[in-house]
Amino acid sequence: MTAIPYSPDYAAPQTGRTTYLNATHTIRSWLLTKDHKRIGILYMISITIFFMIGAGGAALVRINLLTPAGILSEPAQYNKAFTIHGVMMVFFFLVPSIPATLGNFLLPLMIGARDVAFPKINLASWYLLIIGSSFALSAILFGGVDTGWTFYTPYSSTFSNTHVVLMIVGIFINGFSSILTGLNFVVTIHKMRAPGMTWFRLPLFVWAMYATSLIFILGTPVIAITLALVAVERLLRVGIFDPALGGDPILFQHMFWFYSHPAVYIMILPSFGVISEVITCFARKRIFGYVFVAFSSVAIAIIGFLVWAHHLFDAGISVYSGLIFSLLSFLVAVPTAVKVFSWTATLYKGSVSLETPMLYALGFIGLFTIGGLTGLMLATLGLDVHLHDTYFVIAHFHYVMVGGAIMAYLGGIHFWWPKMTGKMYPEFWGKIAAAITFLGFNLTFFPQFVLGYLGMPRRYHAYPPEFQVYNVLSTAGASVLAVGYVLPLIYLLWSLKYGAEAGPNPFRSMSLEWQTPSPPPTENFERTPICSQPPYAYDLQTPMGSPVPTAAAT
Amino acid sequence: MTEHIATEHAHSLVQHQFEDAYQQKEAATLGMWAFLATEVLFFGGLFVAYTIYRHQYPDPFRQGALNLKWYLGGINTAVLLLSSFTMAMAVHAAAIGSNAKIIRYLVLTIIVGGAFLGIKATEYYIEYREHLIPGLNFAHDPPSEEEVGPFVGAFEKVQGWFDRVVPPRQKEEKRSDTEEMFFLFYFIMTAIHATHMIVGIGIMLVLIWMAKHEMFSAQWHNPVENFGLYWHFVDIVWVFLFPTLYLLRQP
Amino acid sequence: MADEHDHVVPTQVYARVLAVLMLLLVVTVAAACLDLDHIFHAPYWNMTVAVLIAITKAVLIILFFMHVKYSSRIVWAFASAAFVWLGIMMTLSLSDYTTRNFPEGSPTMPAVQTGPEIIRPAPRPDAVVPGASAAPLPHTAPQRTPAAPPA
Repeated sequence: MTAIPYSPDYAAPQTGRTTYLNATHTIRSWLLTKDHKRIGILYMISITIFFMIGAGGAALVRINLLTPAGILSEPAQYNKAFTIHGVMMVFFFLVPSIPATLGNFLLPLMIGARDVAFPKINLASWYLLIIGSSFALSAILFGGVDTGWTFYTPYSSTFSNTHVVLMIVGIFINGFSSILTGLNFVVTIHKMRAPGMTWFRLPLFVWAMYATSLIFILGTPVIAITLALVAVERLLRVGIFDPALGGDPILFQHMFWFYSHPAVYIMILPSFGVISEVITCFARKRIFGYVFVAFSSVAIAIIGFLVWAHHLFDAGISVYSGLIFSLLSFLVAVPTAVKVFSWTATLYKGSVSLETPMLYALGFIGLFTIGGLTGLMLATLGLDVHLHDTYFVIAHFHYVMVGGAIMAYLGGIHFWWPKMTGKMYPEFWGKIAAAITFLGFNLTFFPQFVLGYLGMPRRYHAYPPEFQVYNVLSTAGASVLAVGYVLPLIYLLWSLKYGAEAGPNPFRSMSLEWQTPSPPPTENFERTPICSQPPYAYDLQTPMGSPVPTAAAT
Repeated sequence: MTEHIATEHAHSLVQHQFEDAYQQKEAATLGMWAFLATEVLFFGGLFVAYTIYRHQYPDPFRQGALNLKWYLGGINTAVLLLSSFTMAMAVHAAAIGSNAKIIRYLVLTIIVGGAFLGIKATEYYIEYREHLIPGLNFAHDPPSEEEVGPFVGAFEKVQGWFDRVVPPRQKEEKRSDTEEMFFLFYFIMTAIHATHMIVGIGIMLVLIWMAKHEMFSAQWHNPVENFGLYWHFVDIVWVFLFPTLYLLRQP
Repeated sequence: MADEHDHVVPTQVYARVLAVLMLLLVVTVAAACLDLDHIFHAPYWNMTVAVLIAITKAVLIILFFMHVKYSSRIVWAFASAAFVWLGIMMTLSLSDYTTRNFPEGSPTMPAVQTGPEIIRPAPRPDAVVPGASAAPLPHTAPQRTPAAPPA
């Protein structure tokens, strides 16, 4: 088993080369594929559709909030709009986004494997996403759900007159999609690494996938059983969470947030992995504190399970419990900060070049830091009493989810676009889109911090007139942000036909997935690579998978 | 000679993403344990909810438990432990490569598991006749002896013998709303457990079919082993369900 | 390569474990018949003993029937992680419910209810009762009257 020879000038002729894209051509071969790369592409297409539906819900929300009295005719419609936005974005876009698209595509490539451990289960995961989303979409088509994505009882279990059970079935099935993906990744990372690929040579993206998969496996079943109980309560008209029969609505909140808080770490941990890859490549430098960053991913996954009741500070839990959870929520900020310090130190004295993925990554660091610090403000028990259920919370989580996770997702899509498709995206338009996204995002969500601190509650279709100026700014920003999201859709699709040919490694990354042609052949590597180099060896110029270190080059 | 053929057969069963059968087996076992971890959390959510309500309403929950035929639950626990034993014997038979023995022990496991489901069904019938099913016929006044009929009455009589030997503390006559909550949890937890058992029996039928076609060998028997893990897990869930739901005679 | 990791557990081990499990079942039932709380003058004894015996049974099944005793460390890690996480959920959730102390003699909800009837919070004297539109829709109202016994 010899390694792939590394040659920066290697550019295979595009005609006649069999890649995973052109190995077979029928739709049936795509729909019954066991190739993790094709499954990643299938996921990418599906979640883009779900993103657009969720964005539609957001558009309805922001348009309604242009005037204090609300533009939509009924408050109930507003409730349905933000529920659709939340459910689609959280469960059907953000949770699968990086793990199922980039993770599926890159994980075996990064560890030198031919495929994931269970390819058929991988395909089943995608089908479960499709089936689950069909239920959710039909719930939307039949009139929507107005409970909010959090399904708080007893409204969702007893009083709501909308298609709650249909939506719950969709989310339940989607949960199993997540669980199987996480299971697959954990076993793959444990058992399928190429010879020489020790744990501390793994790319940080793989560590991030591992930590995310831990959360998938341990957290998702709890929301499955919680929502199942709500469905039972609705269908059988019994009182599990109904106070009239002795039930406790706070119990629902405990069980719901036991998953949903780690879920937000599902949404952000893969982003951290993407950022580590992008920063090292475009600063041409090893990551600062590799072991710290690697362990911090796992630490965030673990500590993230201990903090859920900070969503219940105002719900009626005991003050002592609130104190414990507040302290634990402060604790989870520590490994997160370790990462931010590490990226910053990596940039210091690096040879930074500002390609599109780097722009997204730099935007991520700034916006995520703001989001994370405001999260600390919310974790403070005393402050949260004032800020809970206001726009401050909305601004906080949009800073981390949109300014953080979605920017990392877009940065990752751009970074690995040449690997996935063999084509380069147009760099000029990429930079434009990144800048528009950054500006639009801040215009949308910074005013919401002010709104929240001034006291505007969330999930209200109408508000006092003094808040209008901030709401109008926010809606204006949303339209700019929409442009920033539509642009990549257009030029990435354009690049499929007209983009420049990409060689195997246009960004000269040292990572293993770049040491194979773009797009890769179905079996990923011609011969199983042997890994003997440290990760991110930009100073040594030795890519992962190469047996002989080449002389330090430009 | 047979070993050589078995090795060949085993190697052809190594899927393309794996290097050898050992890696495949380890991966399959880890995958099964990861799935069982999700099941622990799934049932665990129900246990947490039940524990919290029991903490909040200790007396009504105890009253509810006194309505359950705990000796039937005890017999069921013994039955399920026995089925775990027969399942372990089936896995042992697979490890030594005897398809005939696999079939024998899987059939035994199905029979014993079926006995568990039969006793469970009997319990459900008793609870139905005694108006204990929330959402269906839960009644605050227990039905009289004539209403429940002689079949259920016999089980009541046996329960009465045990109660005379070891009397529980303070059994009320009228049933409260919170007792309905107890029974909700009882039915949901045991029903989900029973569903897992029914699915397990279905999978065992498939495994028997595979063993009939001599598909298992000492080199490759991952499905039997991994299903064994599942079946033992279902047993563990019941081991926790029994004292939690049935044995609340004293606070 | 494959054979050195295959460990066939002798069947006597299974038989002995089954015997111990049956014995523990008898102990569980016997312990439940005694009022341990009264004997030890402390609360929660019965529950603790029952759970401890159940954990012992589960550990035996995991170690021997599920072969974890003979498996690699990763399998140990996966098996224990699941129960550790369940422990986290149980412990931290209970940390809320067991620390809800209300002032003595408060008319509001007590943390633990011992009677058969549920004590509900009294409405505040200045509470504005919502209008009819806030009442639950007829088809979703929970039944409060006992169902008539079947014929």
